[in-house]
Amino acid sequence: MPDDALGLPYSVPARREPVLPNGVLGMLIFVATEIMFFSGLISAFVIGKSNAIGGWPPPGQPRLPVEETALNTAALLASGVALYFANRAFKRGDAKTKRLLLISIVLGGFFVVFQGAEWVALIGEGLTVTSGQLGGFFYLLVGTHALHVVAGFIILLYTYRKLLHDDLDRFTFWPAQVFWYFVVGVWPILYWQVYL
Amino acid sequence: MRLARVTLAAAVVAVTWAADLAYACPSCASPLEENRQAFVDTTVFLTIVPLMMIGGFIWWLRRKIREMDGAPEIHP
Repeated sequence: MPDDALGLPYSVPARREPVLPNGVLGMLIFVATEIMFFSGLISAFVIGKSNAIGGWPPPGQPRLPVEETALNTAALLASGVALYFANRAFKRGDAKTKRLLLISIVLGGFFVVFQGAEWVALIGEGLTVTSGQLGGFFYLLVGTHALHVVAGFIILLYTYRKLLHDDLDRFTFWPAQVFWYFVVGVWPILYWQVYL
Repeated sequence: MRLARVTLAAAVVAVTWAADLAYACPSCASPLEENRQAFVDTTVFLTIVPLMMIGGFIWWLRRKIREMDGAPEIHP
């Protein structure tokens, strides 16, 4: 074995595949802060709800569309499942990846459009940010989530574009998935707390 | 110098005298039992969530590193 200038033998440190790609670790840290952010919002809502005099939802306020949003919830969950299978196909190098990723994006887009239509209807019925506690909390919680869905939707479109150009690698795809799973996972909790 | 000290002491006493109860949030003053319970529940929730996230991540990382102990080295 050759020696270096000090007469010590060369030793090459062992290098292994990283436990987590940097992008995934960064996204996990970001998602952890997002979880705390949403936990804070949900906690404020729970306390506000319990403090409401006259019961919840407050009397005289429009009712939230529970059944229609259940369908929308199913679409978002299905989007998460499609993304999971897209990743499995991606690992195998399967051509199905494109179709599954596209399904995931379309379902995410459906959620955004449906949510927008729901907001238009609710505003028409008189539920606004300033109409009361229900409106204030509704647009704060659901609106914050909607912003995240739009961001996740753009990220998925970006990954799809890279996939079309055969330029997508796991260092881009996995962080995008982490963010989308967060967006999908937090929604049922919001639905349960806000709508039911 | 002495006047300054006396003035400062008088100011501190005045502020202390004028202080009243301050309610940090609606829950502190709420007579509703449901509200107090919600406050306790959310406090517990917000305490546990970060501990679970950090604890879960460390547990997962440790397991993953153990799994990778026998993994082949990468040669640059």
